[in-house]
Amino acid sequence: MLLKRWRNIWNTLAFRLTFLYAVIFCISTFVALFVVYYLSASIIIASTDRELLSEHHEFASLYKQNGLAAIKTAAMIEASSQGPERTFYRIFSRSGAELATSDTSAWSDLNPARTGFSLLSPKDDVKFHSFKSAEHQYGIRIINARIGPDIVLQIGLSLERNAHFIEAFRKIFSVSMIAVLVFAAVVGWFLSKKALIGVEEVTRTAIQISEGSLDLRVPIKNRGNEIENLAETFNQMLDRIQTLISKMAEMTDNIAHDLKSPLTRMRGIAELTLKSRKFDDDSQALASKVVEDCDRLLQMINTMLDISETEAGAANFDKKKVDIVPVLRAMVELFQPVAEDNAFTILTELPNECYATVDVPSFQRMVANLLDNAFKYTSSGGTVTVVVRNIEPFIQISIQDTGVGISAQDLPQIFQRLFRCDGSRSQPGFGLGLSLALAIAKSHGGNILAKSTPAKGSIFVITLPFLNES
Amino acid sequence: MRILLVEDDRQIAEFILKGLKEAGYAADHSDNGEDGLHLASTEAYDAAIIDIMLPKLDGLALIEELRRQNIDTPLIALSAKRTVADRIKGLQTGCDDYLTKPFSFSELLARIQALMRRASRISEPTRLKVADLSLDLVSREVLRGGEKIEIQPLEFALLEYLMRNAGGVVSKTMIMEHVWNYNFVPQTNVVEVRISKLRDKVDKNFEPKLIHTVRGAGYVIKEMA
Repeated sequence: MLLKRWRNIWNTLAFRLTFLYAVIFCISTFVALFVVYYLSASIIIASTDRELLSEHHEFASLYKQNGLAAIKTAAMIEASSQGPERTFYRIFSRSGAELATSDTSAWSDLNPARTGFSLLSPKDDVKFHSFKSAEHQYGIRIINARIGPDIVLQIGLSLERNAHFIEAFRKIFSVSMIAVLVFAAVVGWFLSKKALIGVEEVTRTAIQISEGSLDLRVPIKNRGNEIENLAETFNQMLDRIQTLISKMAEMTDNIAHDLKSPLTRMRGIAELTLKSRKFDDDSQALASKVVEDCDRLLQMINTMLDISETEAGAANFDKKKVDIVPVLRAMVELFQPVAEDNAFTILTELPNECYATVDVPSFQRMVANLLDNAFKYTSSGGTVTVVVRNIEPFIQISIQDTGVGISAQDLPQIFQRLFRCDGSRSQPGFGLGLSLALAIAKSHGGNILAKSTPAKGSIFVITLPFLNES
Repeated sequence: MRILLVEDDRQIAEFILKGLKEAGYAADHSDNGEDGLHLASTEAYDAAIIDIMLPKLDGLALIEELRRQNIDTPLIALSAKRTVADRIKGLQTGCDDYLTKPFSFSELLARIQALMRRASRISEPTRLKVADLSLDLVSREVLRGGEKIEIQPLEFALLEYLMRNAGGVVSKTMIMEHVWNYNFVPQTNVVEVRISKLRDKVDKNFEPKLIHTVRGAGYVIKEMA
């Protein structure tokens, strides 16, 4: 359920654009901040090194002028003034013997190998080195430098202060990354929504058109070339569809006219023969058969045309908000005596009122076609039940019979034009009633669903869009 | 009684004219809109049958022009178009009834006769009578040979329609349309069953039988000679 919802959200273009925008925005911000961080860190190390180097120069010149005793004193003074926890000074002979040291009680592990003393080869004057110890987790920067032919000065500096700065930087870094992420998501969403408004408008129009209002067009506003192109192309396509449909309507009208005139003549002549009573019984029977067949043919042509027109949305429906309950009651009353004659019952379960937006004549025809179907297959002792339920999100009108039912293999095909179940070939009808009913339901934004148990009966459920206000 | 027919299909015109003549009407025929208009506006007709698709001047324009000239002859339009919208358009233009092709001649005749009866009727009757069957429109009482017959509202409406058109054939389509207000005939035999129920009440225990079936056309209520 949740997964499905997530997938739905993920599938929207707006979300994907937002996501992509946020990711790219965050990555570039991260890279920029990281470069700044890296550069700042190296600048800080470089300035520490410069500080250490300048001290080394001071000590070197002091040694040159005043000798070993002077630098020993200077080292002690420097160390205590800067704080023995922050820095230490040590003086070694070239061989590695410690000649003097400041207070190193706050420093452990200062053996020559760890402090990088041994890295200072005879050729080098200065060597920098970094390491971490238990007390100084932020690291220690050390300079080992020759200040005389036989004297090496070692200065260690705790990097704690630098570390504080770096720490603060990291905090700012992460806070701003979160801020950037939120900002990127919001801006991304806003931008993609704005970009997609045009597309949504096209979609909205397409939905309205699929419901049958073919004369709608997508408004073309200044929204960027791509969307305008889409809207224009879409409108051009609609123009073409509309032309085709009106041509089709014209053509079917012409065909209808062309077929109907000869049919009218044929029926008329046969009917006059029937009325004149001048001919023998056989001719009369023949004439009567011609009239009947003309009527059947006409009904079939008309129903086929009705289905095509309804499916194409070309039928002129006058849809109004009406209470369908009295309409259904009247229809049940109309069909009632047929049920009585065939000794079955017609039951209703109708609410007091139920408003729907329908074209009443075609609504009646849709229901009548389903009633025809139910009546055709229900035998004596059976029941036809008409139920209306008006519960969001649908109005449901179900017509249930206790007839022979429809086999599972026939069920998916019953709404197809001219389809008739094997068992119904002997029954009257052309297999057009359900197609027309479905076309009418769809043109009202609804549907018809059929369920059936062979030998027990079928249920047809018309669904229509629910109307909120009643 | 004189009827004008404006129809360009020669064969259809022929059988309508033949039928009208057999039914005892005098009929004039014109095969295009202009001549039709000329005839309709210069001669006095009791009714006119006008095809919608006509050469020179189409049927709707013809009807419109006649109504504009205040000629109130009952008009019935014939057309191959069958949607409700077309029908409404036809009726709005000023024709009194509308029939789609192919139609049964009996239906056309029944509708013309109904229109002419309506046009000639001076005052609305309160009681309809056929032989010894009478129907009171005010008290909604049905009597056969002085005996009161219990009748349902839908059957009352059906009987009233048959009796208003007494002697004339009414088709299933006319019954569905005018009595119960549906513009289609369902496959289920609702009209037949209703007629048979009505016969059970009005005709079964009485002589002579009044409600008759006309093959290929519909029903008629009359006292058979």
